[in-house]
Amino acid sequence: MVGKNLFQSYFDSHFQTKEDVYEWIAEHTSQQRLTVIDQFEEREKAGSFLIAEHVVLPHIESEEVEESQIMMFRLAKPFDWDQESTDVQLIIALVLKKDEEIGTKKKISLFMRSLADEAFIDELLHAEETTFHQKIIQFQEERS
Amino acid sequence: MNSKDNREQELLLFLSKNQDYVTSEDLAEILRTSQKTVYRLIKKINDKSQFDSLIVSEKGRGYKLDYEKFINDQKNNHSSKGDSFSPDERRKRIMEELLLSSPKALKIHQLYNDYYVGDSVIFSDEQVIGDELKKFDLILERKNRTLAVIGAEANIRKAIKESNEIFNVIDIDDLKMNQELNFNQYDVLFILDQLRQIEKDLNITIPYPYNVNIFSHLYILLSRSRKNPTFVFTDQVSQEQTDRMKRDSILYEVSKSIVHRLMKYLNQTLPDIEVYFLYQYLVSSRMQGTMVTTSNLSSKVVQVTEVYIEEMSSRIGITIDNQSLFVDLANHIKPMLNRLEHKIRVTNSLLSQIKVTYDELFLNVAIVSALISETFNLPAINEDENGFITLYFAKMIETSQHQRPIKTLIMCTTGIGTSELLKAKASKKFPELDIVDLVASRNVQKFEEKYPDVELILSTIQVQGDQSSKSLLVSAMFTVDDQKRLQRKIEEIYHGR
Repeated sequence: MVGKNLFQSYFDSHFQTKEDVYEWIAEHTSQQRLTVIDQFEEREKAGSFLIAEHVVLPHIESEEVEESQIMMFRLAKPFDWDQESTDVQLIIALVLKKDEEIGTKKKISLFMRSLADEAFIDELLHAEETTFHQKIIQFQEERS
Repeated sequence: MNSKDNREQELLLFLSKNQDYVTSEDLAEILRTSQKTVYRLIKKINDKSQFDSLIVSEKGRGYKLDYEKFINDQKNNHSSKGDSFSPDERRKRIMEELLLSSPKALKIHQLYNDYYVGDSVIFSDEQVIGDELKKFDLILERKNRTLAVIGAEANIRKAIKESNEIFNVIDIDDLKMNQELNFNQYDVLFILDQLRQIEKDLNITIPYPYNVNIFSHLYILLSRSRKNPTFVFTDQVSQEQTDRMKRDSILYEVSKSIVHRLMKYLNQTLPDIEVYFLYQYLVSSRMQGTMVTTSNLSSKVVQVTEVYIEEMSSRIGITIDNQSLFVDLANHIKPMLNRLEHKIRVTNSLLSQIKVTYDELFLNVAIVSALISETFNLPAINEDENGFITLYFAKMIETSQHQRPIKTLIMCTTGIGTSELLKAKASKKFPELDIVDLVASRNVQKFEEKYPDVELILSTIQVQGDQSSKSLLVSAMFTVDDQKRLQRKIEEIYHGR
């Protein structure tokens, strides 16, 4: 999976539980599937991933991933992430490679900062499919 | 302005600051008067206004200002001056005429030609004007049905300035449009031009109220010279004072050239002392621009400023450790000391507003000023000056620059995920935080060593084990509840300092 884009976007994802989500991410980013799932769960115990209404941001730093990635999923149907995070419609997952180079880190932090903008989150939540992908591609191009 | 006017003004100001109804009891307490007087004042204000009810009342709730009408009323008030004069206005005008012509004697019947009043009124006017002039060490002399004002030139000018309300404007551009009688439009434009020239020559701007102050000085100088080209100065300037002025070559040159232009404009010569007078006004003005930054402060200025800051900080109970306040205030104190020395008074048109808005602060400043006058052996610092000083402290408090920012670390597992997000959210809502770094939780020990003066750690994750009191756990949502808890934490930190 070398040379993959830092940003990935998926529209109409059919996840139904957070376990589905962890499973999928682990499968697509690491050889050590179980370790990655475990890391997500451990991180979540320390603090909730909810960053805005209907939006979660699961994120880990791991020795077991080959490439850092930001994956955005717009769900076909909202589901309850956990008891507090209900009706989730947008998942933004970050896996950060251990000791990632500074340039990539900078791109990631720029993107993270933009998530503090409620209007941007709102657009991601409501955009049509093409616009949704564009929002993220735009990021990849503009900021790289 | 007499005290009755002041009360009306104070009442209006207080109501304009309150959106809701205020009871007459409360108003009486604020104005330190009886409820009856409050009723009377309100009736008077409403009667005077061109709108029937500037202040509206409601049973059981009290009084409220109709703000829209109030603003309109304020605007129209200035332009609606009739042809008839109140006794107060009449006396003012007569006095001004006499002052401008001093020491020339003016025939009484000519002075009163426009006013259609009898001898007894004129006689009582003389008493009032005479008393008023006494305050400025001037004498009203009556001889063979003429009147004349006798006294030192500096006092005459001071009296003209103090008794003329036109010089109470805040925006100097208002002078251009002013419709008041006795005001020569050409002179106004010419003087405004001189002000611009001064600003250009010195590469500075002269802010309110100093611009108005210099304006009035020049205006009075023009009027005086024209009415009475031969007036003689009894005032003396010592050689030492002259030498001191000449050493300040920049300002000296500017005032020389302005006086030169005045002479051309008037087509008459002016005595050398005018250069010195104008120079005093320039030195006593606060200037914004390059001059200020290069000017060194004398040790007296530094000391006075320090006493103000120390005393005020102990009185209002906050630590003032703020270089910019010091510089600002010192740059105000410097010309103020000059004004005190040369008895130049600047009118503070915002004074009543300052007293109402920052009453406690103002009282404290007044106390400290009295202390400073005593300690440094200075003339009394008047209310106008205290009003200006109050504003420096008010500004500092309102912008809460008195607290240094809180050095903050933000932590999450990666030091890049939620912490970046939180940083963006927190720094927007809490400018008092100085976010020095974002850290991953596993590195937190290392970072605490790197930034030993960090006062707060905002974290999105629960940290096991070493949990210092510095840290605050918030969600990445940064909810209203999180913000409230952070606000409390910030207050705690300020308090603990």
